[in-house]
This record gives sequence, C-alpha cells and structure tokens, in this order.
Amino acid sequence: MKAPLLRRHAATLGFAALMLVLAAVVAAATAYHLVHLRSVELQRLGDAAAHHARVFESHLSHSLNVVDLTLGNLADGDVPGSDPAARSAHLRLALRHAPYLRSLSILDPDGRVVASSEPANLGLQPALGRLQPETAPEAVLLRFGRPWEGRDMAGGRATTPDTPVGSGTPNFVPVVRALDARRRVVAALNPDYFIGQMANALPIGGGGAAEVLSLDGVVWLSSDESARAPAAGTRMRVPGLDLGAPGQAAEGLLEWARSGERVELVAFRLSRVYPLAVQVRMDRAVAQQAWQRQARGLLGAVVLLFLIALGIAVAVFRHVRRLEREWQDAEMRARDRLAGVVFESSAEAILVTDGQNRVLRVNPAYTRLTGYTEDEVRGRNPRLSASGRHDEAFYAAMWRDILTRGLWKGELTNRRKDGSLYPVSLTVSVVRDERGQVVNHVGLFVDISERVAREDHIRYLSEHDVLTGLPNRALFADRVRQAIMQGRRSQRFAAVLFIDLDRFKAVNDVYGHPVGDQLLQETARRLQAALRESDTVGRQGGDEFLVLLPDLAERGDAERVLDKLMTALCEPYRLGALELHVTPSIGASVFPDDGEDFETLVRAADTAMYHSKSNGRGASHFFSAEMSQAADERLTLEAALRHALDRHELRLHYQPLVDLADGRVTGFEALLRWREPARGEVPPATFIPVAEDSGMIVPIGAWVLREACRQLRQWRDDGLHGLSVAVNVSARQLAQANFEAMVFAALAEHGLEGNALELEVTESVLLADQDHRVEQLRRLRDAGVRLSIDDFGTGYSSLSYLRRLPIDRIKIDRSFIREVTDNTGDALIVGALIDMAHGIGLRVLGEGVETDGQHGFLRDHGCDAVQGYLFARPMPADEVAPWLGARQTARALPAETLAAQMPAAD
Amino acid sequence: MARFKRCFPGWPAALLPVLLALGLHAAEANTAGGRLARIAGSGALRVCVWPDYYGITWRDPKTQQLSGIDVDMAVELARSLGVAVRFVDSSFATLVDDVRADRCDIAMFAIAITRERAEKLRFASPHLQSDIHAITTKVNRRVRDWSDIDRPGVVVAVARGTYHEPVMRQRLTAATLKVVDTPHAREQEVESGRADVFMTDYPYSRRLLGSVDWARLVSPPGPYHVVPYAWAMAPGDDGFHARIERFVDAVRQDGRLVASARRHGLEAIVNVP
Repeated sequence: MKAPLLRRHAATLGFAALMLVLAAVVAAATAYHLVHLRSVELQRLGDAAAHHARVFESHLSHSLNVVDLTLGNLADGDVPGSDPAARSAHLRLALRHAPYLRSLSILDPDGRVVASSEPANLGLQPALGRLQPETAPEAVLLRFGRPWEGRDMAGGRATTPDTPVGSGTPNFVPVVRALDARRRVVAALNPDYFIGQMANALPIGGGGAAEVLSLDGVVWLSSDESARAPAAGTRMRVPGLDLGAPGQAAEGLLEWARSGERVELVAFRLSRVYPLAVQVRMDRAVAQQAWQRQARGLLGAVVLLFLIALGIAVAVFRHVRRLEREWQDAEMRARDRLAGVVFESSAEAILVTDGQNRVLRVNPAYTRLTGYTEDEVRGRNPRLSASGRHDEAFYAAMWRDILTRGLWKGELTNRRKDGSLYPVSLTVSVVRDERGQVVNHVGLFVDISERVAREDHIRYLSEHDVLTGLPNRALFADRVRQAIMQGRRSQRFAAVLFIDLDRFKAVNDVYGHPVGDQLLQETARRLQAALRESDTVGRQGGDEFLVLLPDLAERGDAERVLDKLMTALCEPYRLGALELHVTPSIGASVFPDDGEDFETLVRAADTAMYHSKSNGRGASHFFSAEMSQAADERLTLEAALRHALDRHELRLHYQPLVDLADGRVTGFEALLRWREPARGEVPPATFIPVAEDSGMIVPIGAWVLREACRQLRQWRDDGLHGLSVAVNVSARQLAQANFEAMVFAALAEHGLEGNALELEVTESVLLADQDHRVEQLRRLRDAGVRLSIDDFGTGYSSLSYLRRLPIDRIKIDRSFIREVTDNTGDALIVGALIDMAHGIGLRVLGEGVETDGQHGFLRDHGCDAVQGYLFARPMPADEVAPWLGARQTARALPAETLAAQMPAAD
Repeated sequence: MARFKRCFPGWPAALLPVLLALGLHAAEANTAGGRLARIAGSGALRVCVWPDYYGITWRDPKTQQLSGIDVDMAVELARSLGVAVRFVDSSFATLVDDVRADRCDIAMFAIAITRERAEKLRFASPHLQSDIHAITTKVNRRVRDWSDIDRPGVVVAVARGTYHEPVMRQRLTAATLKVVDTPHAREQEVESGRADVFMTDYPYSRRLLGSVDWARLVSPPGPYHVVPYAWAMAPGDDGFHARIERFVDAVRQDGRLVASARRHGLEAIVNVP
C-alpha cells in the first residue's frame, strides 16, 4: 500500500506542478501584455493630447482670423465724427454672429472710446498696457493685451501676474487692431466661448484641461475647473517648456510631474500667426485608469479562462486518476481474491488477530488442525490453544521477539479443542499501520507431529540397539552420567554391571546368528524383567550388556540385584526346539567407590566381568583393585602373544597315546607351549583363552597343524614308523572357509597320508547342525583324517547326536577319569560312555590317566586307548625318539614298574 | 428656492379666471361676421405659427417641414372643419398684429395667456402650460442653479414681447435685466458673455439644449411662474370660438393631444383633465 500511495501523491504533485508552471506561463504572458497595454494607453493619451492641442490651436487661430476680418470690415461702415449712437449700432450689428466677441469699441487717437457696442464703455480711456506683438501702433494686425477682469472695459481692470482674475469673475482679453492712422478698434475677446469649445471637445471627467497662453506664459484662458486651475492673468510655466524661446518647436509632448502623485502629459502647439500657444494637459492617471480597466477585464478573462482550463484539467486528471484507481482496485480485488484462495486453501493454518490480539479470522486449515471453527474463536485470544507445556518465560520471550523484530518463528505444543496435544511450527508476524501501531498479528502454523515422531524415532534409533530395543552405549552413558550427578547430590550409590554371556560366540558359531540373536533378545527381556523401572539395561555390543542401578542406599543393594540377575540368566533358554544352557559372567562397579565417571565405571565393571570369566565363568564379582592388575596382565599377555609366532616363542610338546589292548604307542597329541622371554613358560590355560578371544588362535592353529605334520615327517624320516599325530582344532579354525584346504595342503607338503593326522575338536564345535562344517569334516575323514571329540562329557550333547557326525573317537574328559576309582557315579558314567560309544561304533580314549587304578578300570571296561602322566608327560619332539626307545626296552618289565621309572616330561 | 413657492402660492390658478373673463369680454366686442363660413368658403384654415418654436411649431432648417404639437393640432382642426390648412409665419412680437389684422384665422403656437395679450386677443382653453426656465453657458461659473440668478452682477436677458419680460422685471431684485429684441439675441447675449442667463419656457429650452452644445438649463426648484398656453384668435366671433373650444375639448378627451405631446417630448406640460 505504501508504494502506490506515494506514487499517487507523486502524480498529484506532478499535476499540481504542471498546473503551476502553466499558471506561471499564463501569468507571464498576461503580465507582458499588461505592460504593453500600459504603454499603448500612455501613447494613446499622449496622442489625444497632441491632437486636441492641434485642433484647439487651429480653431483659435481661425477664430482670430475671423476677428481680424471683422475688425477690418468695421473701417468702411464706421463714420468717424458721426453720431456715436449710430456708430455703436453699427458695431452691435457686427457682433450679431460673433459669440467669441463680447464687445467692440473704437478708440480715437487719444485712446478714448468714441463708439462702442456697449454703451457703458463710451468715453472710457482704457489702460491697455503693452500689447503683443510689439510694433508700431498703426500696424494693421491683431495685437493682444493682458487679460482683464470684468465683463467689459466698463467696470473692468487689466490684470498682472500678481493680480490675476478672481475666481468666477467675468473676464476678457483685449484685442486691438488699427483701422487707420486715427482709429483703433478694441475687441473684448470672450474666453468662455473658447473654454466651452475646448471643454466640449475634451472628454468629460477625463482629467484633461487646455489653456491658451501668451508666449510669455500668461494664461488667457483655461478649461481647467479643478482647484489647481490657473487663473486668467497668471503666469504658468511647464518645466522644460519655454514657449517664447527662440527656435522653440511648433509642437511637442512632455511629462509634467506636478506633485507626488499627479503626473500630466502636456501637449503644446504654437500658433503660426499669433503670439500665443495652446497647451493640453492630460492626467496620466487617466491612462492608468484606462489601463487598469483593461487590465481588470483582461485579468478577469484570463483568470476565468485559466480557471475553466484548470477545472477541465482537474476533471480530466481526476477522471484518469479514478480510472487508475479503479484499475488498481480491480487489481487489488484480484489480489485479494488470490489471497483469499490462498488463505482458504492453504495447508498451513492461518490465524489473524487485531492489535489487541483478538482473533479476527482463521482459515479452514486452522479448523482442521485445531477443531475450532472461526465462529468459536473470533474475538478470543489465541492462547486458548496453549497446551500448558510452556512456561511464562517462553511466551514472554516469544512476545518480546514479536514486538521488537516483528517476527517469531519456533516450535511449540498446542492443545486441540478435544484436548489432545500436538506440536506445531509457528510463525507469527506483525502488521503495522503507517504510524507503526500494530494492527494485526498473523500466525501461520503447521502440525509437525509426523516430523517430530520421525525425529523421535531417529533419535530412538541413534540411542537404542535395534536388535534388543535396549539403550545403546551412548544413551546408557547419558543415563550413567545423570545417575552420577544425582548420586552426588543425594550422596547415594549407583552400580554399573557388565554382563557377558559365556561361550556366546560358540552359540553363534554353532547355531548361527538367528539363534544368537534370539538368545540376546531373551537375555535383554530377562534383564529388564528382573530390574526396577528406574534401572537401565543397555547393550554394549555383541553379547555384552550393561546395567545401571542408580540411587542405591548401600552396596548390598547392588549385590542383591546381582544375585537376582544371575539366577534369571542362568535359567535354560528355550529357543524354539532348542534348549540352551548359557551362563553369564558379570562384573560390577560402584559409584563413587570404583569411579566417578562413566568410562571409569564401565572399565571397572568390564574388568570385574573378566575376572568372573577367568574364574570359571557363570560367576559375578565386584570390582577390586587386584582385578585391575589382572586385567592389565591379561592385556600385556595378549600384546606379547601377538609377537610369539614371529619370534618363534611357540613350540609343540607331544604326549603319547597308548593303545590299551597291546600297550603300543599309536601316536602323539601335539600340545602347544609358549615360553615368553620375560615370564618364562606361560601355562596354556592362561594364554589359550587369550588367543581364542583375540582371534590369534587362527594363525597359531595353522602353525600348529603345519608344525605337527612337519614333525611327523621328521620322525618318519628318522625311522619312527606307525605313529600318527593329533592336533587340537578350535571352533574358530573350523569356521574358516579354507580350513579343509589348509589341512590337505599341510599333509601334502610333508608327503603324509590322511590317516597320519587326527583332528581333535570340542563337543560344542559340533553341536550346531551346520551342514557345511560337517560336510567339510566328512570330506577330511573320507581322505583318511580321523576325528575325535576332545574333553567329552563337559558339554551337553548326547551321544545319539554324535552318531550323525563323522566321528571316529571320543576322548573322555579328565575330570571324569580323575574320580573314576573313588566316585561310583563317575565310574558308572564312564562305563556307560564306553559302552554307548562302542554301541555306535566309536572308539574311546581316556584322558588324564595318572594311576594304575584308573588304567586298570579303563582297561577292564574295554576302553580303547589312554593318555596321561602314567605313561608320559608331554615332551619336546627331540625326546620322543629316546622315550620310545626306552619304552621298547622296558616292554618286557611289568607295566606298573616301568611307568614308575619314567622321568617327568616337564 | 422654497421662498418662491411660499411667496406665490397658487398665483396663476387664481388669476386665470379673471384673465379669461377679461379676454372673453374683449372678444365679444370685436365679433365681425362668420369666420367659419369664410373659412369654409375659402376652403383653407390659415394658422399663424412661430417656426422657431421647437416641439410646438418648428420648421426644420434642412427640410423646411413644419412639425410640433400645434402643427399636429392645426392639421386636426382643419380636418375637422373639412378644409385645408395653411400656415402663416408669425412671432410673439408680431402676434397681436398678425391676428387682429386677420393675416390668419387662428394663432396656434402655444401662446402664453398673459394679461396684455388677453386684452387684445381671444384665447381658447389652454392645452399646455409651462413654467419659466433659464439657460446659461456650460462654462459659466457664476450661475450654477436657480438661486444664483437674482444676484448682483448677474445679467438676465429676456426677449422683448414675451411674457418673461414683465414677469422678470417684476421678480428680479438684485440682478440686471437685459431686454433684447429677438429670441435669437437672447442667446447671443449669453453665448458672448454679455449676459449670464436668459429666460425662456419649457418647449424652447428643450429645443435649444437639443441644437447647441454650449447651453445649460437652470430650472426653478419648484413652480416659479406657471403660465397656461393656448391658441389665440381675434376677439369676437363666438361661433368660431365655440367651434375651437369644442375642438380643444375633443382632442383633450380623445387622446389625440396626449399622443401628439408624447411624440414631441412635451407630455410633461400637456394640460389634460
């Protein structure tokens, strides 16, 4: 609105300026014309004065010419010396048609009136004074005296400039002409006649006056009737005009500033015959007035015409403006329609309020979104939608922004008419009028529930484990930190538990990931079920879980929870048809005793968990400083193990396998030994788990296989025949896709046949029904490689299950053998095992035989083979040949004494 | 100005019956024969006129045609008598002689009824009436209005034989009365400055103001000396006189007189009932 308003003002101003310019042009033209008119009027007045002067002079001269003739004619009719009455009658006759003459008188040489048309003049001797022009008295021409006061010479007097004719008094000018040497005639010239002539000719009230003067400036007569009229007989001199000056122009025009205001144009004309002049004076104000009249008329006409033109122009301008406005209105309406459509069809809810924030309008989207119709909210404050989720400070900040910046953008929660809450993205803008007063608020908002839900989900995903739905390490860390802060405030304890499922890797390896995943989900479920609402279970990764127990009054609380968890997790897992027995290893750390931050607490719990694991699994421990050392030890061990292969620190010892039937040594089991330079001999029970956990078991296992094959080749080359070698294979190795190829390569390298090698695996390796593994083993067995189950009895598999596997032999775990002579239960088990194994075509080896009793029991119960200290400890490869030689020699001696003489292997 | 009115209230009206009675009486004494018969016999009505009397009996110098209210009336009278009209030039100075010498049957040029005339002539009933007016020059600064006239040094001209002469001689106290022989002479005296004003009647003043440019009219502020104008006949001959009276009554009654007065600018002084 502002810009068009300005533009409209600009158009009006422009039009006004154009009109002003036009007015100025008209005014200038008019002024020029008026100035011109004024000079024309002055010129005309001057012309009129000059014209009158010429006419008056002409008439006067003509009249005097007639007077000259009349006086001349008197000479014949007048008879000197005759009766004066007769002579006077003759003179009166001559006056009959001469109104310019008042009387005629004849003077004798003495200057005495001897005859007169006026009887009263008879006998007078008038003092005519000096006559003009000066010449001899008898010269036959008209000569003029000074004006006289009085109707005639009788009762009259000659004037002087100092004693002129009194106002309103009759007067005359004496004119003298010689008739002959003795007679002169005097005519009294009637000034009124000429005044009347001139007054009639001059415009009435025109401010003009005429005078007849003698050349010395004496006024004979004046038509002036004003107060400044010159009396007859006075001397009148217009500045700059000397009528009697030699070489004076016959006529002319000049200006006479008589007083401050009155300026007269004076035209004069000298008679060519008589010593007199006529001057005509015109008041310049007359020209001024005439000019003013014309100017008024002209100005009136110009102003009228200009006003008419202005009126037409204004009308046209306003018409154009109206058209323009109509066009703008139409455009505005179109825009309004468009705005209306946008308003009505917008997907955004729109809310318009007035300056007091009362609702004026809402659009359909608003109604859809809030449930309120326009009628329900009109006049109300928009805070009716407030959810109560935001505090006063939030709204205060919002209004501060609206009022200072004119705009607020943000997200907040609103309440629908039905009471439900929903998040919106809201934009509030302000509409101000020209004075800056707020007239409207416009609020636009959209429902962002979906977006918020999506964002929440993403956040959930970023904070939770997908498989179990448990908080992940990051979220768990937040919870721990909160608990720490809370604990600091409340001076209470918190505990972090690190839970690892024992042998989970084996489960995954044996049964596959789907089963492993189910196991993890079930574990999560059990953990959550066993814990308080305020506790947090998180998944650290793999088979590791973290548990936060906040707000504990004492350490004992944590212990009780630990026990409860242990119980819950040790329950068998039924996963479909499968029943798994899995134990957890749990480590716990306590805030603030074991650490005051997340990292430290988790590391402590982890350490405690390892402690549990290394102490036989299925246990739980609280963290202690010693554990920390053990954990450190384990780490250094792992680091050292990484270099063991390269530094040739590993070597194999061999323990003989003895056939029970004939006491013959059938082969040797290769057992791994590690002599670490700093520690000396490291027990296999210590470093094998480290190798297993770190994955180093794979390259180490491969080395063991090749070394065992090489050694067998060596022995054969040395002449020791009829021996095989048994190598332990871990689950990880079997999981290697190239395991089969590696075995064949090792055999081929040293020119060995398949039956020279026996692979020992633990029960769990074969538990899973993993066809490709079984197939791999079957192909190996087809090639002659024998397979045996190591440590049989510690697992949970059944013999019937083993039937489906390509197994040749089981090795009964030493824990059964150890008690076989003292524990009838074990004896029964071992016996049954031997029988059952034989029942399904498997051979049986007893491990860890140390006594003759054990030896006897196994022999009596039909066990096929044994190994153990009773025969030989594991020995270095170079001791095998001597040991075999010694045994050959002792074969004749009783077995018992022979065994007793055997030196310890290590 | 009011002074005149107070001094002479109703004077002309009171005097008129006396004058008429005197005139009638004198006329009866001079009755001789039947003028009507003689007119009919000759077939012409001889009418004395003063051809310089503007509006009454005025002969246009350019066309020599007579016009005026009394010319109109003379024509009407001749028609009513069934004869032609023949105008005979006369003047106030020669009026009495002209009528009594039978140079005309009737004088019809708005003759003021004065005692002197009534003694010698017989008047019809007046059909006009006029007061006395003064004429001066436009440039005369001594006489501006009527009260300036009767002042010392002022010269008042009247024409000999007019009724103005006796009236002014009687009325003027301070001014100088100058009696001249002719009406024209009055004008020359004023125009040349030998006199300041001259006295005349309404019709003559009208004529002068219309024909010269120097003249200025000075009228009395109220009735000064109203005089009835009528036609004059020789005394005697009652039949002729009665016939004229009937005519006068007729034109006064039937509007012919007023219509003619209007034509000649004299409706202000027409004397109708």
